[in-house]
Amino acid sequence: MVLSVIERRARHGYEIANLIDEQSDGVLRFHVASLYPMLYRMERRGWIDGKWIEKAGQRRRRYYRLTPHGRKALAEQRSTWRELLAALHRVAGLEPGR
Amino acid sequence: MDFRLYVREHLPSLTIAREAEIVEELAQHLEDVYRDARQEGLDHSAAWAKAVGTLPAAADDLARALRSASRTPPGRVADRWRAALDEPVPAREARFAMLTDLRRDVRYALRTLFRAPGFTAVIVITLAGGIGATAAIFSAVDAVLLKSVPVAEPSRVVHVYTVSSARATTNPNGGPQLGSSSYPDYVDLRDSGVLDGLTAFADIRLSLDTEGVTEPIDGVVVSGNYFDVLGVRPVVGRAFSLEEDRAGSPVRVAVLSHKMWQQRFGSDPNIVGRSITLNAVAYTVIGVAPRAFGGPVLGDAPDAWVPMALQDEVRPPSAGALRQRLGTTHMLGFRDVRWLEMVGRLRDGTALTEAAAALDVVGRRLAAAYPDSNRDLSATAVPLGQGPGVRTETWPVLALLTAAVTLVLMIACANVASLLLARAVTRRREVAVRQAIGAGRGQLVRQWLTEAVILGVLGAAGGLILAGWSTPILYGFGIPEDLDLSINLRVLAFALATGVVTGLVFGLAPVLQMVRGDTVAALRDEGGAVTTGARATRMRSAFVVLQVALSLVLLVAAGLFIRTLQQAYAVDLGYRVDRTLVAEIGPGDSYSPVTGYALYVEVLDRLNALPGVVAAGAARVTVLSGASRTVPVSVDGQPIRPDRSNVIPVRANVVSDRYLETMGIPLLRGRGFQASDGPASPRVAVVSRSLADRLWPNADPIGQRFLSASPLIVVGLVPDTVYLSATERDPRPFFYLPLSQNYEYAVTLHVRTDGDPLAILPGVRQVVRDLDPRIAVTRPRRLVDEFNRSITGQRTMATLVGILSGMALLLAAVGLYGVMAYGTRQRTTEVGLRLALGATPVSILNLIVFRGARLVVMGVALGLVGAFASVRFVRSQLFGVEPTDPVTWLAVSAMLVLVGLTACAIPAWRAMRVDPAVALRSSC
Repeated sequence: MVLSVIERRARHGYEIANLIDEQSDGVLRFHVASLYPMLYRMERRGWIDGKWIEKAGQRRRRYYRLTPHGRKALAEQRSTWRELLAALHRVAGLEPGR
Repeated sequence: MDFRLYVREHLPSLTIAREAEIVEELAQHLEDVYRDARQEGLDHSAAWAKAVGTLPAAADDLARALRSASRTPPGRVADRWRAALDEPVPAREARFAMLTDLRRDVRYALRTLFRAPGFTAVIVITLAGGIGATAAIFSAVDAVLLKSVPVAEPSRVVHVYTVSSARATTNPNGGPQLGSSSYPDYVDLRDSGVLDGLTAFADIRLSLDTEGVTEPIDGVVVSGNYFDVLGVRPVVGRAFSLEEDRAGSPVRVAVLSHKMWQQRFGSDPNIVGRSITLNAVAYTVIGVAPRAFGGPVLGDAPDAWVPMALQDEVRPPSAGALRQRLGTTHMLGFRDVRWLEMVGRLRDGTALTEAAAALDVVGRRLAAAYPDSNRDLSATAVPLGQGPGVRTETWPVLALLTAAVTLVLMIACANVASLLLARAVTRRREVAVRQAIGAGRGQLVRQWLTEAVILGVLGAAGGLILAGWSTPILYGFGIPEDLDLSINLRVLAFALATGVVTGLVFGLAPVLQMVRGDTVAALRDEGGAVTTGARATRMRSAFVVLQVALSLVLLVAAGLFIRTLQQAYAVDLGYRVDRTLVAEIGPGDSYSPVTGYALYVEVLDRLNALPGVVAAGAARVTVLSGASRTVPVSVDGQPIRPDRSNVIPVRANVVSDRYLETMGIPLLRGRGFQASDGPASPRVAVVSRSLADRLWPNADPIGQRFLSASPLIVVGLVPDTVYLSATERDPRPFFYLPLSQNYEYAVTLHVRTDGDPLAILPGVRQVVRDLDPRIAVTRPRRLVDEFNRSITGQRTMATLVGILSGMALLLAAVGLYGVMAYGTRQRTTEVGLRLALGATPVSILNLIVFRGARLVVMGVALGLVGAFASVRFVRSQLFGVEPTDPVTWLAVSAMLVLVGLTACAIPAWRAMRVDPAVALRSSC
């Protein structure tokens, strides 16, 4: 989820939290307590890469970017989720959403 | 709006490098929330509340999550390990994978070991000491017991001995009495065809004349087939031919040793055909023996070989006794003169037992044919080196030393195992993590054993260096200096194998410990000691008890050897060895007995006139030098029977008239030798007290007659004195014969001085040179040096076992200290609590010392039992002290307890001074 949010471009932590909040219509909400440890963990794993970037008139922020390794992990997770969702749909008899 | 201060205040300290960045990032997040809230229209306080509300109330959880997410090992290493473990290994690549695994294990092990260099160094040094000592002793065992004599097909070469059924009981070792052979017996045995070949030989002293100086060299008189039977080809020239050994028409030829050829003749390539002067007669050199060859007897290294037919000219030492008895020195014709060693080659496909049985048949036939000389005698064969000789003599010493070094090695192993155990406890987390992420137990066991084996191999490398330094000490044990004790491939392999095996042994302790450990408990438990720690401590305590026990065994042995040495020094020799110079002269064959004796008299007269000389005399045998002459003496005055049932072995020495005075031996009764005891007057002797008591228990010995090689009249009585060595077990009775009636071709001059005996040597040389410049004064030394040399074995034994037991004691003390220090540290909290609750420091000291003392006492008790069971093995090496000598045992036990308590006292002292406040806080 976090990975997909930064798939197209690098974002900072607050942005990521907001985007997930928005995209899930407020269903999924990340708290500081879980967001940042998760970011750091993914960074350690080499999935994402964090960089301090300074923009004119703002304090510097840390932007996270997907690494090739992370891209692979994202693809894997997507297929896993897809399978899981498909299975859920089949079991629950729901129509595939969207 | 800056939230950095707020975040920093509300977040517990993370204690990681990135803390500042994390604070900044979180502060930025809060700021963004605040800014958006303001934009949504909230006022400052509401926006502030919203922003800070994003930080959870339980900031501790956040801190912990951040901390663990940011720390490298768990996540990263886990992934790598899991990735490595998940990789499928195709079956046909399994072997390759195993190698890769091994390489990975070794690399990981090396990294672990070098990360703790001090720890590694202590272990490697400990092991190097243990393995070094073991390798040094093994090199001696290898040289003496394992290496074969350099002859062709050594397994087919056997020693052939004369055996006596009548005297079978007199051999202290219980086996049959193995003896030398006579020349006629040798010829009959050789020609019986039992063996593929049989050669006979005997040691002789030759004098070599080079450039006008005569010097004694070691020679061997051998039968003509000697080199052929042994299958040894000279490196230069040829061996003897049978024609050269034809009795009656001898050819004066000699084969030189490689060493002699190199040192005395500068490896002259034209040595063959060159003439050399042996015993004042010209010999032609026909060959040079191979470098390693010193004859079939291990440790022998003669300088030259000459044919048997020349026996009459070269005169083996036993010729002197024959001349006294029969007035001839030609020994080859006598069947009852047994002076030859025999070595034969088994026929192809013949077993040793068959050959021995066949020789026995031949021997019995000879006994039947020649009852006068061969009654009750037969012949037998034993494998090369299993008869009397270096191998048999040094075997008990080497066995003892092997046992001693094994004990030291075991103690070293126990120490190392103990150290590894202690560290295993601190490595529980590493193990637990690796187990948690799926590392199999087998994998972990392999990893740890790899580490232990690497330590063992490093220890072996260090040990080899130590062994290289220390092997020369071993020559002190009667191992001939010609035996090569250098580190060869076998010793190298042995040391490495020892390293690997010890590595596996001490590596197992922590491994056993580990595989029984509880992963979950270890992961949960970060600091203090729980079950695994306690179990490791128990195991280490057991090691300490074992170490103390083994040390005690070694210390008892060392104590006994030191007491033996004391006793040897304290022995009353019966004469004085101080301020006395001894040196040999041999006028050689250019002198007849008459002119030779006149020369001796003149030399001694001039020596006695030298300033600084108290008295000078001459003797055939130098006491304590290891040389001896034993003759049979009839106990009933009847002629000596052929089966020798009426004789006792008695030591004899031929001495000049002032010898007794020079040596400070008092005359108890009668007189010493006089100038009037000439060749024409009755043959006289001076006897020792024990010989007199044996022959004439209730009578005055003076004037009595007794029968040795010839009838003798007793003119004097002297006390018993030490003859062969200070630690001789059964001093034999002996008597002196006058030089004036018993000419010797070489004698040892004894010069007693009033100062440094070596200072008189130039004067002695001058006296001899003035009389005959061709005669060399050889082997000058102080008599006290001979004494010291005669107890070299005891000295070296005491030193070496002393050093080994010192190592053992040190290792045991270090082991005990380690366990105590570790245990005490574990109990810091408890000690602090006790102190806080009112315990006095002294009671703490007692508490801890008591724990250590229990281990020491248990070890000492176990050690006493072990020592008691093993001292009987050292009995044969002791002198003047019982194996159960209470002084030694008490002193050693007391010393061990003292050292043990000191090792406990240091950590206890530290524990006593624990600050309760600090101890309690550190555990919270």
